[in-house]
Amino acid sequence: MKFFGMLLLFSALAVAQPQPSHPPLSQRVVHYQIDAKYDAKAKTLDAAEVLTYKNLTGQPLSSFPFHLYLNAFEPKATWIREAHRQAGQGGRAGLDEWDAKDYGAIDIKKFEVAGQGDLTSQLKFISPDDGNPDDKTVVEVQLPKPIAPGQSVEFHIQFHDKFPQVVARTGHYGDFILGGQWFPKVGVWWHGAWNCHQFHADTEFFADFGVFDVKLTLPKAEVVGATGMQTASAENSDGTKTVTFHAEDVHDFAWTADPYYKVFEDTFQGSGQPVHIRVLMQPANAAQGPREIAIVKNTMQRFDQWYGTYPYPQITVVDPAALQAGGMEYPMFITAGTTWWAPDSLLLPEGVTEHEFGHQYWYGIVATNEFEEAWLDEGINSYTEVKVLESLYGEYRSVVNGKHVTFGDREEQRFGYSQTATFDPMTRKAWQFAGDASYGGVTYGKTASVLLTLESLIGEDTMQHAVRTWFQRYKFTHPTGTDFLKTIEEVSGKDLSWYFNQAVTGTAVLDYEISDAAYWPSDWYEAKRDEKNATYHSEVTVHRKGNFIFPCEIEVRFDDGSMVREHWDGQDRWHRFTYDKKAKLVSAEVDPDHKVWLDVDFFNNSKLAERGDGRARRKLSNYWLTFSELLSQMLGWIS
Amino acid sequence: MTDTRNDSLLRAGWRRLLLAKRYIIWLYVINLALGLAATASLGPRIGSILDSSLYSGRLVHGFDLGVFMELAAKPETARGAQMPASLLLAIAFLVVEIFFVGGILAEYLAAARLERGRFYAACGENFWKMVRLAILFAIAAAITAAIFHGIRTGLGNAFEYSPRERWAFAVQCLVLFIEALALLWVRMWFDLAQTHTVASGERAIRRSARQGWRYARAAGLYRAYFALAVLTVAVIVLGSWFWWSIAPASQVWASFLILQAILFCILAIRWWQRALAVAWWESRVPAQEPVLVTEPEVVVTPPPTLPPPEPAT
Repeated sequence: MKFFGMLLLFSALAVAQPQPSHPPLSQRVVHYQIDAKYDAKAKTLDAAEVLTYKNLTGQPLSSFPFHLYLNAFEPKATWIREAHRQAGQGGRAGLDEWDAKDYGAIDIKKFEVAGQGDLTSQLKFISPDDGNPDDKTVVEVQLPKPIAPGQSVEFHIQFHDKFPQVVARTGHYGDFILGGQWFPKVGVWWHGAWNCHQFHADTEFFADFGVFDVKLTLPKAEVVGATGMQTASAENSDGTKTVTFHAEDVHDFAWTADPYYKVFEDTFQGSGQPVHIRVLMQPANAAQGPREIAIVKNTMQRFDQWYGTYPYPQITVVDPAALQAGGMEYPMFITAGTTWWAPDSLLLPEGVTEHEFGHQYWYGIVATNEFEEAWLDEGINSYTEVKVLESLYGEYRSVVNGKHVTFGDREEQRFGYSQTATFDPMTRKAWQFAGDASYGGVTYGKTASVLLTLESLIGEDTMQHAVRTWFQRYKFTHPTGTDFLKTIEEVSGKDLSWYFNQAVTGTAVLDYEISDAAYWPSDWYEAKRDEKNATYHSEVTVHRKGNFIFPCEIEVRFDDGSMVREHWDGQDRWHRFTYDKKAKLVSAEVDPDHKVWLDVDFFNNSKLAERGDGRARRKLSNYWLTFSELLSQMLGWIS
Repeated sequence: MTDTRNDSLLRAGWRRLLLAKRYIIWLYVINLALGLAATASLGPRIGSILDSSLYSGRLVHGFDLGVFMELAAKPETARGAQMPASLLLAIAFLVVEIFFVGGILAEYLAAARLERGRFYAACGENFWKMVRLAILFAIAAAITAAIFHGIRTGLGNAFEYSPRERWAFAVQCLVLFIEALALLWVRMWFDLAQTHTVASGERAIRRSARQGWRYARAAGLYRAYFALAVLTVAVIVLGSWFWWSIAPASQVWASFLILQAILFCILAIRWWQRALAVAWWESRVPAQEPVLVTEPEVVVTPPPTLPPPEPAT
């Protein structure tokens, strides 16, 4: 009886789906129709899902893997195990220390395939990445009858979610709920095989493009935001309401609800259709709403101008009640991260929102495989984040823009990388990194630094053109890292394999230093010298400390104001430049224009021939002196 | 902020502070010297990186956090190596201040400059009493802080899921403010206990603490203490604003002078508070309790009397 009831419901859903509003932008391999009821008190959800999968693989398919991401938040899951290891490495602490009531899970109640019957008992958990028998984040089903190429199959799935207390990307916190990765999602047939990885502590997502029609039933008082456009909202007699959303050419669907959201709205008009901006702010942070709107519009303007048109009619920005849910991207839907007290000079809220919006282009539209090539999303996005924020706030001021204190986004990216430079190549699969710090430092920081350094080789404009070409050529297609590197070589017209081999697929460390900068009178051996007409012999030695070979420029300055620019191919371990002039050597600096952001040590890039005035040393010593005295006086309060 | 009586209390305290100003200046100099000692090893370590690099200019003209983070992350700067020295020398300063308390309070009580010998005699005579009182104060302050910590934790849990984040923050601030008032009161209580100890020559510290507790019900004195606490906060806020706004980022000497002036003021205001306690104690405590600032006792022993010589035979 229940089965037939569900079938009727599924049929109704199929009838109710809106017609596509424009020609498909993607292949639309999947069509999800989900009718979900959220219990705001129990933080649970019961839903019926109809997934129509179109077999475009060119071969019959008899097995289908599904992601069950919420099972990552169970005690023995791979996600928790890895979080525990990361906590031990000094990484994010506390992810492995939950009360049982805070765990999350997804349970498939019934799994049917149209024309093939109830296959619930055939479901089998698999662990393709680590063999963990207790991990239930991927489930596989074998179909009795294969699906022929070009044919479609309908999966009818009933499932129950228990949302976790939010620690990352999804879950509840008080009245707030972020519904991310909440439904059974089919894997991607990619390069001749299913690609459906387990959920790891450092992995994100990969899915096929399609259409989503989602009905959410939840308490009437909830303010709701979601992927796509809201197409209907109807109040029910039991104090709930049902809100319907429709999204096209996206590969995921997320939603949020909170009765206390304050809504801010605006419109962005770029090169495409008007884009409705909807910002849901926590009441305490409501004053930050205009800041969020401003950074979204500014970012959209730059992405539109530099890379291409945002193809969707809406973007929803969510200010979550818990910071753990902040800074996350879903198609047409991002979570920000701000606080009510954030001063205007602290640009972290802008940085988070810009970054998450940037994902719309790389994760959302180009849609690379975040499990296996995370750098293509997070890394390219970190690079474009640097470019956008610098265009808005300045090169060294795009994170902290204070009167005296400054901090730039490119500095932040490089610092993250420089602390973990030797562990992993950018191309490492996300769950195989040495640790959380290495994953972050390399995937975000190194990729951004590699692309910023690349600008010095091919030019900033060419680099922008290459990234634009990457977006335009590969949008909605799931390209690979090789595609990206080939695009850069093609656009620049240069063979950059020597650079990519070291920077992208290798772990070579770039560190050039001025190891020596000195001068002495040319006639040093004379007892008496003519000081007025004296000439000086100067020597500058450049040393390649790291194993990364990179051509570099050296600027040599003399006390008569003259300056010489030298070029060195950097092949040998060191090179010496010598000068005989009437002027004394003042300083030598490798990479004087500060273009090589992969260099892990900027302090040794320059050397003064004579020791400087020590003001930086005295300044920092003064701060520590003040701190020490204050500490003494505070302790002296006990006396 | 304070009534006439408090104003007179503040003035009386100020007069005593001026009386003992040379010792306050000495304490500041010791504070500075210990701070310099704690900082001594930092200069050469960071100097080897900063002094010959053009990159350090980004720390001079303004303050580039990225450059600072890169410096702090270098193994040569030995992250954390500086903190133990600063802590150790802070403890040394605590001992010095405890030593000086007896002498300065004796001078406050005498309302006149004590000659050096009498001053140091009072310091020495009261040193261990002050150590014990400091331990008692630390216990009382820790209990007070623990109680308020519990309250704040409870409130934090109660407000954890509240959408009224700003309201929750305001409540936490209010509790912190009340905690600061309570700790100020505990400090006043033990300042009075110290005054009683020096003034009466009381040897039993617990009795001094009880007396301090009894005297600490003085609302007028507490208001004056509070006024000076507000003054301390004002000095820190205005001084920091002045330092931030006026001193050019590259002028290390100007920055040094402003910061040292702030530190000196904080120290002096704290000793002003102790002077208030003495002034209040003198005006309220019955005169039968003698102020013990005695001359070192000189024991005059009569010359030995020799037995009368035996008569010659």
